Amino acid sequence: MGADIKQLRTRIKSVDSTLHLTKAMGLVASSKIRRATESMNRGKEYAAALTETVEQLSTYEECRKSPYMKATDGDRLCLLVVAGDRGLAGGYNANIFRLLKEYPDAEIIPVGKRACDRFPGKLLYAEHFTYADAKEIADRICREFIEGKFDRFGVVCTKYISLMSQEAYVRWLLPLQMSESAKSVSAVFEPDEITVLNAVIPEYVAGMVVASVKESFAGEVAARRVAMDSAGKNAQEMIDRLGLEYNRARQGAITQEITEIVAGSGS
Amino acid sequence: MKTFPLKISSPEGDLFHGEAVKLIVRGVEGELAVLAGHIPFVTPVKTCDCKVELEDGEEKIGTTDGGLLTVSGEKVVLLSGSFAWKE
Repeated sequence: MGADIKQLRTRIKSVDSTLHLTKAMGLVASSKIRRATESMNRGKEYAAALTETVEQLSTYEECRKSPYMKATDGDRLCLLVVAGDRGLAGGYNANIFRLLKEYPDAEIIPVGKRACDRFPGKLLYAEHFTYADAKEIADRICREFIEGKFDRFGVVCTKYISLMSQEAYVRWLLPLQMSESAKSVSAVFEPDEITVLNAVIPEYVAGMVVASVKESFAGEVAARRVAMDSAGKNAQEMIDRLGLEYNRARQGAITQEITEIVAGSGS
Repeated sequence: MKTFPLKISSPEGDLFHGEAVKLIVRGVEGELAVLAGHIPFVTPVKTCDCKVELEDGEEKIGTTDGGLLTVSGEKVVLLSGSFAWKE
């Protein structure tokens, strides 16, 4: 009986320290949520403005001749994978890698510590990802796309739907999709349409990559908070249950001792 | 003075969103000013100081690290990879 009580006490202690850990991680995540969502919204504004401009540009006849708009039948893919910097964020990283399994032959550019651990490439943290990093990647992607090293480029990232739900998806960026909705208007291009479009595409890719990374990071932080909340709840439940067991065992030991003493004094 | 809606956007978000009287930037072919009623126009922008004149006469100056200027019928958008207002 004594060993049982000791074992229970050790378990309660260990679950309690896990509870502390999840609480602390949850707190860190919630303090980061506000900053991450603000940054995500700013990135979204830029992405929206960029998309609008590129959509408008793509309606001009001249721009349709750009190599960026040529859709090819090939299936060589290049994917930028945005995963988290750390684990313990529920299904956040697993969802990304599960989605990635659908594209086994793609060339991968990793962003985020977890992705960098799996794939070769420069170590880039999702939390501290800057426009300069994105521009470097975008310039390379655009150059290789024109050279014909791959046929499609996309970003595997996480859509931030709400604090409670995020969804992994692929955002295809190249070749540019022609938009049906934008209406064609004439405009003056300086120096000419192709130069303008070719100058703006690397900016567009970089802008979209930054926006995707920021959105994914907000998703990571939110996922971690929710995961830590439920882990904390589970730990508390476990402590309660173990506490009950411990008390019962202790009570049992005391009762037995009393019975033994009474039996001893009676004889 | 007539005004036009101007938006200056960078990855840090929209840094200006409102009415302006005049915008001066340096395009690839040289410096240019945009006033209300400008024809639809698109040009890449070089690294330069960018002046925005507001309706009350106030002049704001910022620095852009390249970008793209789009003037369409209804609004003017300056997209910049990195943009900062000067104090």
